[in-house]
Amino acid sequence: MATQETAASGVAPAVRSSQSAQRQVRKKNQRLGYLFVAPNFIGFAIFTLLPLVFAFAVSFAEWDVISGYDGIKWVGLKNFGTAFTDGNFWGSLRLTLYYAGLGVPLTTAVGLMIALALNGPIPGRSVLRLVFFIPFIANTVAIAAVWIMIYHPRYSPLNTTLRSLGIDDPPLWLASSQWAMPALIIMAVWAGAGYASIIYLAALQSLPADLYEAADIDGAGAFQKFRAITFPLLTPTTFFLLVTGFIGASQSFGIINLMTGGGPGRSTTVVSYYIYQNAFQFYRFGYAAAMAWLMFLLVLLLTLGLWIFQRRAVTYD
Amino acid sequence: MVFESGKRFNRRRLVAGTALSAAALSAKSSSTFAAASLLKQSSDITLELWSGVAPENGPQAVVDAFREIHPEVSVNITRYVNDDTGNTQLDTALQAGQQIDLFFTYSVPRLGQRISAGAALDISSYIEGDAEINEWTTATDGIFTYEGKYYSLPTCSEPHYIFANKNHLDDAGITVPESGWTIDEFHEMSKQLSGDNAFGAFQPPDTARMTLGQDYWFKEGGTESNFDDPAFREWIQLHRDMVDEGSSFPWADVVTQDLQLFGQHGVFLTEQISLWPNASWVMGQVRNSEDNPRDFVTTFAPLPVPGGVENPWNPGGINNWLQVNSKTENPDMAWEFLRFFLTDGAQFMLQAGKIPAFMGDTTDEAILEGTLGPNRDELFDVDAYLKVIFDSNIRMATDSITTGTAEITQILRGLTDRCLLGEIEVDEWVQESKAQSDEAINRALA
Repeated sequence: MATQETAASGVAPAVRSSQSAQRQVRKKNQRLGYLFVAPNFIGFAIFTLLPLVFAFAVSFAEWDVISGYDGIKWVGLKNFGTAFTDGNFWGSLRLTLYYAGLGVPLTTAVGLMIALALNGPIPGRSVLRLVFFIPFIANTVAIAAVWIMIYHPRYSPLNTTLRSLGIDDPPLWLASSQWAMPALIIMAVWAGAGYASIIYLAALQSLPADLYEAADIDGAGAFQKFRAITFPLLTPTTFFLLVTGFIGASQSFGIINLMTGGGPGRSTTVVSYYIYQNAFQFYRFGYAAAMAWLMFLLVLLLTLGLWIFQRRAVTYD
Repeated sequence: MVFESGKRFNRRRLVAGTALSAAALSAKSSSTFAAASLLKQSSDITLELWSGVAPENGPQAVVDAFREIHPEVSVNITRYVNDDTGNTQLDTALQAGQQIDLFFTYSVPRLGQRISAGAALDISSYIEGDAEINEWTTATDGIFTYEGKYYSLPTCSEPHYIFANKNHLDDAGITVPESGWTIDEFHEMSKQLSGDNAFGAFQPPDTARMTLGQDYWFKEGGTESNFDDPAFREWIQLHRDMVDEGSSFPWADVVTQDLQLFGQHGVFLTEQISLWPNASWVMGQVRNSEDNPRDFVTTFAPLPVPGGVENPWNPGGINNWLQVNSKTENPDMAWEFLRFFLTDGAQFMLQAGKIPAFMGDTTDEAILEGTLGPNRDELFDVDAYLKVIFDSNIRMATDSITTGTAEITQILRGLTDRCLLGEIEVDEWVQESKAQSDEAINRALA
């Protein structure tokens, strides 16, 4: 008993000291961990979190920036009420849905087609992959400059070709309320399809070969294999591209600012551009912040909708 | 030859008196920038200036000249681009309390915004204490005041006139139009100068502004828009007719290439148009024959007069308003710099096409050398230029109402684009301009 006690009392301090050493190490590691994440977190806090909180606060106020913080006039929910009755806000929402709703599925579909083409053993495959990917990494200003030339109503190669094909009155593209948005969508598809194709290619290469072998044995044709194996197995990728694409497209601003300035008329004034106009042209920062939050909620709802939809439609193997 | 302005001031005498030394300043005991305070402040002052014109295009030369007089003062120039983003950058910096002692504002609406927000210093007492500047501000039309006080002074004068391709005129047997020619003659001339892929004019001048003058967008003291005035219908109808018949530059090209404000020089210098209403601020590009080689001489004509208007307004104006930040720690020296920029410093801004608002004894030669450059006889019809620049009939108005102007600008741009693209008719332009602008005014007044 005494021996046991002695043994116990001898062991206990050793365990205790090892536990406290572990605690110290853990504490040290925690401190180190915090130190490692600190630069990122500080950056996130200053450049993302604070502006978010500030924008949320400002959405309940009228503020023109130049008057300083003293000029902030609290107005409660007035800005949100204004948004609900502002025809231009709803118009810009419709245009955003038009742009994202048509542009993103098209980009994804074209990306898939490119990926399927490049997945086969064709000569110059890696060069072609690079070629299709270049628009995605190219500078937006350069892209805009090139496409403005492509869409020039009189001298562009596009309209010259259309005229030579017998279309006497080709679209005015960026100079037409009807065609400006399709013109932007065509450009967005061109710029984004390369990225989608790279993601699809990665997914295609990880598809299980045994399913295709089994299909071959069953005598399935190429289209049948695509419909029954490839497409369903690619649905997680498709879902990922649709969701991220939709979020990205709903925030589109740079290319619209560069190419159309929201015009002609209001034909390309999507929500992000309308928010910019209200903030930086009309100095209605409170209203702009309120619309930005409404837009955030709408995108969140749509994403949730897609998420619920994917539970039924997406196949995970 | 010396320019005969309405007012002549002996600037040099005063500048010599104010600027050479603090001792000289002490002699001007009645002046508000009393020597004692200036002496106290003059040890190693740094002024921060925000300018829309890049330092190398003139402002740096102004600063260097100022430093010769005030070696103890450094002036740092921050360039901001005079667009929405650049102006917001300036406004944010102003409200965040960043050191900015002086800044330029390039439009009356922004001037109004900045003054009413308390960002600009009331410089009335400096002006009152300075006989020469006081006399000039009293004698000059259109200097913006806010509640009867001065918060800025315009540093340049930008009357509009017509740049014309002299070779095109000669080929068509047209002599350079003289003062008093009419808008109908302009229209006819544009038609005559048009051909296959050649367009007589870029666009007609703003005849509504020429007819109505100050605050032409507004009536009823700024509580209602004025777009139902016949002058607006006449202007948009003329422009639409000219686009439709091909006597002005295709608006589809303007919209696609975003030529509403910038970039028009490319169209003129590549000889796609013959008549181009604009102002001297484009001269930097027009005189640059290295980047823009051309085989023609540029001549100049005064703006044509709208029908039934006896004494038209020029759509240009005095501009480039220099303001002192209300939070500056060196108001006296900031004023001193403002004054220098306005007077002796103005000559260095000629290269940017900025004709001094305060002419003082600026000579014709200095203006020609500065704005038209060294190859002027080869590139320009110099006599015609002198006539349009020093046209004694020029009347320029400065707006005083700024209610909803940023929004109205966007409304007008959208509707005008659509009308000139043939998507809406003139009637709809008039109705919508009026209705939408009234809404914007009501929103701003709410």
